[in-house]
Amino acid sequence: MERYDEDLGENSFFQVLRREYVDVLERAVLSGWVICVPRTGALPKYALAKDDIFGHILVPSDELPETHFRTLTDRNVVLNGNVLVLENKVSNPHSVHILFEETFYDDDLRKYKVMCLEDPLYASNAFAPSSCTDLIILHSLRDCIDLLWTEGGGGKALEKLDFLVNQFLLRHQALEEEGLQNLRDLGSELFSEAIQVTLSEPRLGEKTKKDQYLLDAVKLAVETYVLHGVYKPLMKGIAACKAEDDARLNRVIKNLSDLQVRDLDIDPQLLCNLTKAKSELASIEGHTTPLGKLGCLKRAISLVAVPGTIFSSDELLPTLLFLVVKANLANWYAHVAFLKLFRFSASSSDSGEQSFNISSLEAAIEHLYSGSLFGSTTPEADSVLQPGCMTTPVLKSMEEALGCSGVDPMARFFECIRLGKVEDVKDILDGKYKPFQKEIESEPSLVEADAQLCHPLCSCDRCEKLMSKPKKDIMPTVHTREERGYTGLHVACIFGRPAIVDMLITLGADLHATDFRGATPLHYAAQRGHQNAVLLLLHAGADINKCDGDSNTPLHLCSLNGHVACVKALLFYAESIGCDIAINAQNNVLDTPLHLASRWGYSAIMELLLDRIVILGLELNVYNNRKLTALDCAHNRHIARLILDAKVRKDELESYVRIDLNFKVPTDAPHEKKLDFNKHTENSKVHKNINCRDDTNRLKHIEKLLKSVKVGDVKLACFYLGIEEKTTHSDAVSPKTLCHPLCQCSKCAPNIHLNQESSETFNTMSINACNSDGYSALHEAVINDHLHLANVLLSHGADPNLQTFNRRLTPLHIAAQNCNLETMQSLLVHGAQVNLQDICGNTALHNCCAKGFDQGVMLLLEWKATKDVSNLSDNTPAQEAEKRGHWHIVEIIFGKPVSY
Amino acid sequence: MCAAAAAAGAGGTRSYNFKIVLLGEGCVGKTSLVLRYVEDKFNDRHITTLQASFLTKRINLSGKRVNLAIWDTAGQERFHALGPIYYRESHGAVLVYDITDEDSFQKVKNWVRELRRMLGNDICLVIAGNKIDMEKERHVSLEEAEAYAQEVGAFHFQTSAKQNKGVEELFIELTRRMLDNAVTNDQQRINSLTRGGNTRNLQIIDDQANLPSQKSSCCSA
Repeated sequence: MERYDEDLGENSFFQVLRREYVDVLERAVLSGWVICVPRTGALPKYALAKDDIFGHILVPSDELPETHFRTLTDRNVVLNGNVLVLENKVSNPHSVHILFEETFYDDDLRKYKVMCLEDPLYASNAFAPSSCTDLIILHSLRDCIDLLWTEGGGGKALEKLDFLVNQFLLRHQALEEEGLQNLRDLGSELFSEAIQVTLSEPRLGEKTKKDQYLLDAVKLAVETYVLHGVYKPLMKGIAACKAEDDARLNRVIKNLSDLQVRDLDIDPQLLCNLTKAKSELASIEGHTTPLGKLGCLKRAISLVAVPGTIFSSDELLPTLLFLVVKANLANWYAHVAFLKLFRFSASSSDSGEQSFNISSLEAAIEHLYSGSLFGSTTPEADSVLQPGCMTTPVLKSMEEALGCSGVDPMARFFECIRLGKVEDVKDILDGKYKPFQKEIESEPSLVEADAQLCHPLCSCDRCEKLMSKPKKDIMPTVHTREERGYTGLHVACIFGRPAIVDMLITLGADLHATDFRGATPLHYAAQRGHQNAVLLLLHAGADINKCDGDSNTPLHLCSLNGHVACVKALLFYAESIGCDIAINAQNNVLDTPLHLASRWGYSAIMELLLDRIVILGLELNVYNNRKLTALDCAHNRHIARLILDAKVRKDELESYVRIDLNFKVPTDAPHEKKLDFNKHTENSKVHKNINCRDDTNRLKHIEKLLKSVKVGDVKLACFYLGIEEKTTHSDAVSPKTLCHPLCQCSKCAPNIHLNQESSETFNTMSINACNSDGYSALHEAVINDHLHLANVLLSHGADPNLQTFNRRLTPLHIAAQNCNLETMQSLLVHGAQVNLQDICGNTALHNCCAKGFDQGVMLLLEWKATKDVSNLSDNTPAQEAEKRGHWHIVEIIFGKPVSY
Repeated sequence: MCAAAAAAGAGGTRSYNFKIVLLGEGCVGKTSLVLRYVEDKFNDRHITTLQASFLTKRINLSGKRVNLAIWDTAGQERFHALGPIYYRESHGAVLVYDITDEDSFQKVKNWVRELRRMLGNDICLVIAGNKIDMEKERHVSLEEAEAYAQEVGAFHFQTSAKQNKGVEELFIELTRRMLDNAVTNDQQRINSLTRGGNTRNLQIIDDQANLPSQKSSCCSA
């Protein structure tokens, strides 16, 4: 029910007219008269007089047939928009709203026009009581409550609906975890129950049977009221279902933050109201019902349309696109899904204006999501937007701003950088750029331009022209800035030209040059997702924590724009180099990068940031200037879950570290004692390891390493240790054999890896580093049965004879305990001592015997394990086996059948 | 509620709600065409704010109440992929080309192909050759266009939004055909129906049967 509707065939006024005034109708058809019909609810009660009818027949005037009429009772009527104004001689003019127009055709396609009016235009008996009821129009939740109150027996219906809503919320407490279809089914069930309850009110039930319009209104009111009641959990559920789509859309939107109207070819005439329309559209988030949200959408659209122009779909769609980008909302998909699926009062085949508006919004969002926005408008965008390479698209407006057409050396310089023409840029900087030289040669007069002025201050046309020509002897350098304060390095970072970034850095470009916004090249590289450029700048020594004019660090910018690769680059670089990256840095609205990633739903970035926050023991509950934590900013439960999990992990780790720290002082002392216990241990090694434990930072790093080993992440572990994954060393190719410094072709890629590792001074951990309990990476790998990882560690010199501090376990003990034959073999091959004892005096052989692991026993015996070592309980391996009834083991040890 | 109708109050006649989608390249005069029909205006200086992307028109054809919701689409080529969002569940489509622009006629052919593929014969098509006031610059011959329309089971109209030629006829004819479609659909539903669902898919299959009759009606038009 968007607009008033009634069947005029049922309207008694129209019936009388058609029955008794056939001749008038005939004239109306022939002369184009317009017939007005008051709506059924507003008809006078008395029998209609001739004047009543004639007062509603409009005869178009000769001069302005579209807007000026005379009634058959000779009164002037003016049409103004959708209002008819009846001019009175004495009193004020009487205006009446037109509800709708209907064109009637007969079988011969002859037609006449009928306007249905909200109130009668003229009543012959003005004092007669009329049956007039106010026309119900629902605009807001308030209107709906009013309707339900007045029609539903003074609050009874509302009470029943409240009860239903509460019951529903109680029954479905896990609403946020339902699927979309389920949510819709539940909502629709609630809606039908609510309608039933409302119509069970006898008076309303009777009334709606007769009045289709009222029934529609009641349906809408009930839908609005009920959905308002369940909105919060419902919307959370929808947001969770649409989380992925929304995150992807947010990435696109955030990366289009520079979008300008001319990028979309929007008529500049429409500009004036865009800001208002934008805030109107943004308020869609605050409305809790389809009615309210649709109202927003409609108002936003009508705000854009400027009086005096025709606002067609050709303009509507780009404008909506623009508004969606600018409205700063985090879950468009969820809102559209809500509007599409939860308008229960609208018929399934609804094709009215609301439905059109929703479709237009959906179309705008789909277009953004598809990323095809700049596919055709800028040819260069194709090369930048390669599949898989998610960087910020280049907007037309930006290209234009960077002066494309230039004979001016400055413009040419920046254009060459933008287009990635390495050679040309180099030539320009060296002063060898051919086009410039040619121009100079062809116009030799220019060189001595000054001399040729009529007089030093002359401003005649010829001299003006000479003066305005750029001086060719001013050649751009790496420090040259264009009008927004960009240096060449800025531009190269904006457009992602790593080769040029590399060259400019070597030529001594200023890494910390700031543009007018206070942003450094690193800010732009991070913001626009150019990982290569980010790494190049970092390696060259760019400040990772530098703030721009809005106090955003590079980490803020890539978190905001959803560039996972750049977040990774920043975090891992900071970690490997050991510099402090301000993960919880706050910008000028006190948002941390975590706030931004949480608000826009980038789960991958969330994981990276949280991981680092947990490990470094940073604060999770940072408040921004609206007193919100990152958790409060989360728009769906997936993101919220990540933060909550991180909290748990952090608490666990903190309690763990605290115990460790308390424990640290005493552990050193008893250790020395324990060494006496094991005569064969190489003391020096243990000492070295103990020394490693000194600072807590180091401990945390080790925890991270062990964690990566625990989950079997070979790559990460190798990264932490600064080693290669390969178990055997391949011939290291010298870095110089790369095709070019940044080549990533299949031939060069592995070499780059090497190259990086050799060139970076990785502050990596010793491969035998162990945590506070003395567990090394090798221990962890063996415990968790990661054979490949264990082999990698061993081939890089991990010591297979390290013993843990408390239980004095070697990896071999653990492997024996776990019955890992292959691991045991590896360990032994790499020099594991076969007879080391743990704190209970057990050797690996003891363990195998106790487990009844016959293959292990045989393997150990092959490696000359001593059979007669007694543990602290005074048992030899054979005795252990015997105790547990592993007779076959006993046989193996003694090499002959045993009699019992 | 079924595809095309909502029964008005007790004993009232049925009223039909039809969705018409307007397709065609930019600049062929889609918007002008629909504005001429609904508001009887053409680039009028008197136009106050006009939201022309969505317009409604109520007509009463020999006692049948019909509510037309006319959805304009963006004509720019880069928005082509968004077509389905607009044309899904529509009962009729007006495909507009500019008789002075051969390319725009090719675009119409593309749309016809796409609509037939996505919506089958469930949708009534009307092809409009607009701008016949510029007959001198005609690049699409009438014979070719009419032959094509007949081949794909669509009407063909020559229109001029500027001179108000053929516009009303076009929409009336389209409405008639959508009415025929709806009536036969209702008939078939009543014949085959035991439960009241609104599965459009079923109807598509059913419609194959009365395709020939539709074709003949279009040829006579």
